[in-house]
Amino acid sequence: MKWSRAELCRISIALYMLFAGLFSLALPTPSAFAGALTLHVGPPGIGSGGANPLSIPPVNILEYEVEYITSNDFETCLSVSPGIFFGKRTRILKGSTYVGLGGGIVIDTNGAGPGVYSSIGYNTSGSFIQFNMEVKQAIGIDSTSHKLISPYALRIGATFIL
Amino acid sequence: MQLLRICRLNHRSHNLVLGLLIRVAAALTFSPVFLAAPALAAEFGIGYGAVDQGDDRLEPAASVHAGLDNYVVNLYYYGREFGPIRQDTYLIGVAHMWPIFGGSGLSAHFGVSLIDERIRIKYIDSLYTANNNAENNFNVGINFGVAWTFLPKGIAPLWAQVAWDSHIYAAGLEGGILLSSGRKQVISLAVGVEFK
Repeated sequence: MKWSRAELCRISIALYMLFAGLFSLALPTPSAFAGALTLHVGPPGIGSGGANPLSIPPVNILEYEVEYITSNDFETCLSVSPGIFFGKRTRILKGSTYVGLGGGIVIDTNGAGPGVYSSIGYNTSGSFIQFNMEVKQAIGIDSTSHKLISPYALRIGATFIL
Repeated sequence: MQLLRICRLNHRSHNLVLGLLIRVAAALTFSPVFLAAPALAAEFGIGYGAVDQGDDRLEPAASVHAGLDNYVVNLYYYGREFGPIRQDTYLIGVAHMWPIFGGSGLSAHFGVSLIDERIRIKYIDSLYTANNNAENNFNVGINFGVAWTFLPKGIAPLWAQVAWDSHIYAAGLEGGILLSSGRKQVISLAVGVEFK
């Protein structure tokens, strides 16, 4: 059976939703706060050389990323590239810095498919808004060509404590 | 004849790199730091890597890994040759390491990266030697990634690790302000010994 690219993309998204849903069910009920939302801006490296400069004004949708972090440090990351991910953060350096690791759908200019990501980021202190800087690398297998794709992104932004 | 001369030249540069790697290995293995500080954990390994330079294509690389307590040094070398043009790239990552996810063997690291990219154009034929050229591109950036030390503890002092590294460099001062960057990604497997 040969699946089309659109079908493979739909299957990948369905698998991601399934895994994200299962992980969400396993989470304890948040008690201290509902979580945090991070809005990132920064150009990704999408498999066609390095990352281009940030557009002025920054209106390119490629440059944005939204992350939702639960109180248990599970994170869901949504961006055109490196992709859509669900993972877990580990706090290091007294909690201001974190390492993220997880899986999802990797997207770059050479294709899209299932893969993993890792990130390291820093949040300043603040009770409502925190400055955030994060670098993320992802590696996946293009669903069509079955070749490795590996986008990355260095982004800055703000974290809103919910 | 020209081919022979080129081959001889490459042999010489490879021998230099090999000699350097052996010296680094010997210095780290027999360093009195390891012998005098039994409380510190140390590991040393050599291996193979695959480098992506931003275009989703992988190139083979040689790697040397050394770790002391929570600090790791990764050295990668790769190069290619096309006619009279030869490119040699040396990547060094010096990073702090943190274990993640408990005792899973997974760790994350973050630190400084240094790159030296050497490009040489060397014609043997005297007709073209005016075009000979050599340049060194050096840059400093950040290094981060994750690694998995996967051998069971029972077979120590053998040590093996898979690492997934990114070395990110700002594309000049102005480019850096606008978050423009270049990256070398390395996936590597290193095997060696550990001292505890």
